[in-house]
Amino acid sequence: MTDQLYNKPIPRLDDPDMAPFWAAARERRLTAQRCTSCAALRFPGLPICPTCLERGFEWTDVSPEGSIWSYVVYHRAFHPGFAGELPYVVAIVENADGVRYTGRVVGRREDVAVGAKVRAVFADETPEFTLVKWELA
Amino acid sequence: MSAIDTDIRGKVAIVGVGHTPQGELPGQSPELNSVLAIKEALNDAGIGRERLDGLITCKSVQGTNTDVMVGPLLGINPRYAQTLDYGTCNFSLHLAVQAILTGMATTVALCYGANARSIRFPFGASSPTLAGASGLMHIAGPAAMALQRHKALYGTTDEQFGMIAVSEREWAQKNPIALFREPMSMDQYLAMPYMVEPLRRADVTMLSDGGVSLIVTRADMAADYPNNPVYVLGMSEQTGIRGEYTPDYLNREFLRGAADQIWRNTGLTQDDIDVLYIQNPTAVWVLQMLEYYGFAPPGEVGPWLAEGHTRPGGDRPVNTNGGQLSESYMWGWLHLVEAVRQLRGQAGERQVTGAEIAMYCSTQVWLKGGASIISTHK
Repeated sequence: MTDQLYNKPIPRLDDPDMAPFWAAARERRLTAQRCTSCAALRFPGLPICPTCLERGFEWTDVSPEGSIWSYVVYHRAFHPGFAGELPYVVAIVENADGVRYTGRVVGRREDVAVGAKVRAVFADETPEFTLVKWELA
Repeated sequence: MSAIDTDIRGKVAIVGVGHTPQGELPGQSPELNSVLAIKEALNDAGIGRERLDGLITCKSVQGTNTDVMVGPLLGINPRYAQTLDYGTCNFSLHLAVQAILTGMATTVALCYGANARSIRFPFGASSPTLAGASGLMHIAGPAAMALQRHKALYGTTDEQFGMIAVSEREWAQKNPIALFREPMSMDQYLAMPYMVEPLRRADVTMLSDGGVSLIVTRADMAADYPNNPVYVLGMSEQTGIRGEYTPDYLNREFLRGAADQIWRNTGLTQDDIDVLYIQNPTAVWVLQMLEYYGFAPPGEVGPWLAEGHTRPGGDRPVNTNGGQLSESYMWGWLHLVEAVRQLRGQAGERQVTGAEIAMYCSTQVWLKGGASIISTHK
């Protein structure tokens, strides 16, 4: 698949607050920022820790296991790139470390539920961009 | 030094309301729609624009309609002018009360203007984020997420939730300016396909152009106006501006803070409210705010809705204009216009008998909440 054929939204992969997350996703690692002062985890990335207001942080690997906080099923494509994928499921997932991620859920629609166990999977969408999705466990 | 007087009850009054036609107004900018609405509100108040010494505008969805963009069209240089990013009319009214009580202004025009429909504003545009790349877009997405969670926790059904849209449509049939007036039964609602499951199209507002304005002044100067003044009895706000960094932010639990404040500050209770208005880009806003403001038991708003309280003839009339689901988008501004009309007894065939106290609750999406209680009595 090439960028020319990929007609869905691509995140800003060079966003300084998020570039390490996208780079880790290429390597099949789920990450979050960890404050080097108070150890609080945060996601999406921020340039300061909202828990202790210290600026030091590192991107760290976190658990790929999680559960669905809630989910929705899109039956209408608000972006033409998603028209061929309807209906599709998007969930907010809380991972085992308590970090929340928004992402697509892959697997049988009937098994998607609030509280369902999921595991992060990594889909190479373009040569540069890997999307974190969630597979029903 | 004496304590600061925080008792605002009955000190500021709404003395004029106005709006443009709703729907599609091609070629009319948000600023033009604002000024046309201000003109209507001034007519309603029986005053000329020279009486205004304050202007509070609410940004349009594309970020225009600021005070300095409206000023040239309105043709005045008021003493005080300000712009709110997301007024919903509630935050706008609160700022006007603050300006008037501190002497910054005496008579203030509030306005909102939009042309989102005629310019085909792209509400489906996604942000360049993980969520956007995953296809979570449009306000219906996160709203449906909150509803799904409510359904899972409390067993809320489609039919219970659908009563919000059905009830608003029933009210809209009595409102000549409402955009969606064709009948919609519960069976028809349930037969509609999902848009963003568990939301159907009827659970989400429509795009519309238009302008809305209110004229607000000191209560001790309000008696000279042609219509009965509608006094502000209380107001409250609470934010959740940490947004998604508050884990359950879609549940908007911060709204409880706005609710606690307004009941405490006014000494009123839910039983005192004759007509209730809840801003609703989606019906989920009504679901959540009915619970947080204490009109339905926590977690039990579903069965409560199914009992029909909110419908015409019900004992808890909600959004008697048809709300944003059936009347018009307008970011909730027309809710406060309708509240004023009900309190003045000018609501035509949808008039709620004996309506003396109205409440309006609104939010800036997931980030702020506010409430106002208004009445023809101080």
